[in-house]
Amino acid sequence: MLKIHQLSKSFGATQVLNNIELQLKQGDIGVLLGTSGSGKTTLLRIIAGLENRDHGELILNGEVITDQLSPSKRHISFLFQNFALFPHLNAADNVALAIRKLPEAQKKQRINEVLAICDLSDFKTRFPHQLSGGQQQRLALARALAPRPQLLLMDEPFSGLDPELRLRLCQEVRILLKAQGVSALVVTHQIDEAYDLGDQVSLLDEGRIIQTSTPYDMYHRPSTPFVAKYFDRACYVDVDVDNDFEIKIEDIKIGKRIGARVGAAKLLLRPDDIIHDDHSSLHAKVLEKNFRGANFLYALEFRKKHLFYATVPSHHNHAIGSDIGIRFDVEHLLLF
Amino acid sequence: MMFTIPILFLAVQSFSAEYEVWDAFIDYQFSAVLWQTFVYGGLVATLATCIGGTWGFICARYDFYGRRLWQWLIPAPLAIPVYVYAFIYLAMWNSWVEQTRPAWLLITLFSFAASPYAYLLSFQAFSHEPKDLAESSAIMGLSRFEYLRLVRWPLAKPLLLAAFFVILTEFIADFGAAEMFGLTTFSTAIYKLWSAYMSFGTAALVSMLLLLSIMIILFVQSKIKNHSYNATTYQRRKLSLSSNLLINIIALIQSFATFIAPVAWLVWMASGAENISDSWQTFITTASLSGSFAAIITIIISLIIFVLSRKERFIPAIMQFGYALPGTLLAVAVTVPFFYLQRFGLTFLSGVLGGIALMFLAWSIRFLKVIWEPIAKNRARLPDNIEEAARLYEPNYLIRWTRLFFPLIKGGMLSAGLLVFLETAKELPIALLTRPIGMSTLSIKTFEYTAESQWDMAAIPALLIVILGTLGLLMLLRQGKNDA
Repeated sequence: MLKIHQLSKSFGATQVLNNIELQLKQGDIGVLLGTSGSGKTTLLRIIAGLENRDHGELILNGEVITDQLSPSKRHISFLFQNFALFPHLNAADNVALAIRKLPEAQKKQRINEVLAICDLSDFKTRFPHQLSGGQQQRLALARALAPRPQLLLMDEPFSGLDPELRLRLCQEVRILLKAQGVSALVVTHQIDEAYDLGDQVSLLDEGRIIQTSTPYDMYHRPSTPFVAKYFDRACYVDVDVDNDFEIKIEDIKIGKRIGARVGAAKLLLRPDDIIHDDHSSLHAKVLEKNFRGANFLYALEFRKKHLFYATVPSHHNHAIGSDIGIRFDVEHLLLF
Repeated sequence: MMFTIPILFLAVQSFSAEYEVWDAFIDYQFSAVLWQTFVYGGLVATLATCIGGTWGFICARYDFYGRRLWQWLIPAPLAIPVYVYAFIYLAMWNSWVEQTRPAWLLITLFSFAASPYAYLLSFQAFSHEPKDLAESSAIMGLSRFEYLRLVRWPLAKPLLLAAFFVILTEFIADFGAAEMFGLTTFSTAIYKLWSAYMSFGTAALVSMLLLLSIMIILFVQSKIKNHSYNATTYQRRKLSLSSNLLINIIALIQSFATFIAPVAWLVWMASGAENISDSWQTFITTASLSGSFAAIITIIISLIIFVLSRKERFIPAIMQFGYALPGTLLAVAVTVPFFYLQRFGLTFLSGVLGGIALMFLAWSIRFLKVIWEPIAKNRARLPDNIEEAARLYEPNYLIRWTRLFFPLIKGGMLSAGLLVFLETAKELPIALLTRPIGMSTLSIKTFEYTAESQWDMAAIPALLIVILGTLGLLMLLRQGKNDA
């Protein structure tokens, strides 16, 4: 339903977006992930018609969208970072403004409908400042959904909320969007939000999309070391690939990857690829440890050469400097 | 204490109103007082809000030739007290205006003179744009007109309503202009009951009625909700050549009538006055002495307020209250306790408190807001827990004060002192009613010479008031620019 082809944008001498390619299917939720200044919000604003592009193509539901097409004629809704609720209007009137051209009866019905969907039926007459952060967010969502947009654009919609509320709302919003069949593109720099919301995630860096795939593939099949590192602690250890495509760390067999380039390579190791096993013959030295509640994150030194991390259940409380038993359980063998 | 004691005494004193005078007031003057205070006041506030509000909107949202000049000249009438306008226009057209003294002329003069209040608030409201709301409106398909009507206007309305009420209270508080044009407002009625009818009790009772009216206005004002939103500076739109021309012509006519011509006339008249050197010297000495003394008292009060305000949250609300109280009311209120001291034979104490002290007390109450605002700005920059943080490093209270807090509020206190110096020079009703015999201020001199139709002599103190007022206005505008 959304197709972006070779889209670029500069502000003065600074190139903010560089040959962006992106597609989103009907009903899917796409997430634009990246650090501050990576260009994700600019991309969203160009799709909304709030910024002009330098060049590139934007197609929405088969229709080519030019910069001249006003934001209101694009059949999109935009959920702003600070919700942009009208402070002088109550909840119902905020929604009403978005659908003010509907006949009165239909308008009332739609207001009731979207407020009910967003669990705000009891707050119709409340003003934005009388609502909690979560309720304001839901009201902004209700207003955005009211005109039945073809595409909902969300700019860091949960950034001002506390972590617990953020997690709950992420799940609620995804269920709601799926139930309404609304396609959405969400900008965030929180990986957890990308996991919770997205059917597909695009990682941006310095104005380029580095990789677009499912959240699972982003983590397990990163296309570059940058992507791998962005999604979790990633370490690279020196390995050899023999003629049978067997990957080895020194003499230890890790697994086979048919078609891999034979010779020296670097293998991506995530903390969950290392299993703590008291009965293993392989040992690593604990260099650092960080308590994470249910787990410890151990920084380990293996054979005085290799450094990597391991996530270990927190009842295995080992002292720094001690040796612990480990084994390798690498499901996704990624060589760089 | 400063507020409650005088007002309590005022309430007690109002029970001693002479019935004959009170009856005569109710029968012959009350309807005129109500009409000329509130209907004329409402008219002035509406006109001034429309004039100033429109200029604020134009200067905030459009770019046109000469905009920067007009941004200084349109608020310039703030430097001229309304009674000085009244005097100038009475003197300029003395052939027929002096005899007829039409109310419509005062309403027009007052509206233009007070319009800068609305201009400043309207400029503040429209020069900052709620960018997210504007973009949200664009996505929802609101036209420019719909956006102005449904979003921008409701957001600016509270500030314009605030301007309306500020101007209304200014009109109610005015004494000099109303007296010069022969209006019967609360202020002039209280003055007459006191000075002409010698009925202090009735003056106190009428003051209580005025206080009640002011409380109602303040209550209504407090119900106006100001909406907060994230705003960015508005990018002005360029105007066409014909609009440029039209705006410049109107601005020129308005500035000529409200600032350029009155000031030029004052200079011309003052330069023709007899015994010039003596008069100038006397006036400057009077203004400097009373103003400096008031400024020193102000600085002391401001220090106390600053200390209190770090603990007492109600202080900011009280600070606004004094400015809303008309000078005549305050003059009566501070004089009542003084009369009671005399009645109970405490002549020594009444001697100490009487005379100049009463005037300074009433000024202090009236100008608490002027003192408070620069201090509040400095105070707002200090986080609430800075005192606790300072206590960790420096146990000695005095050193904490001199080394940490004093440097932080020093600037605010000096601005407050200077503003009070300027305000006292133009304040009329308090000075007129509470001054010790023989003492004069610039405002009293202007008023007295005007009453005697000695226009050239009145022009000297009036010109000094305008010069001081211009200094104060420049300070405020510069401060406002820095804050923005």
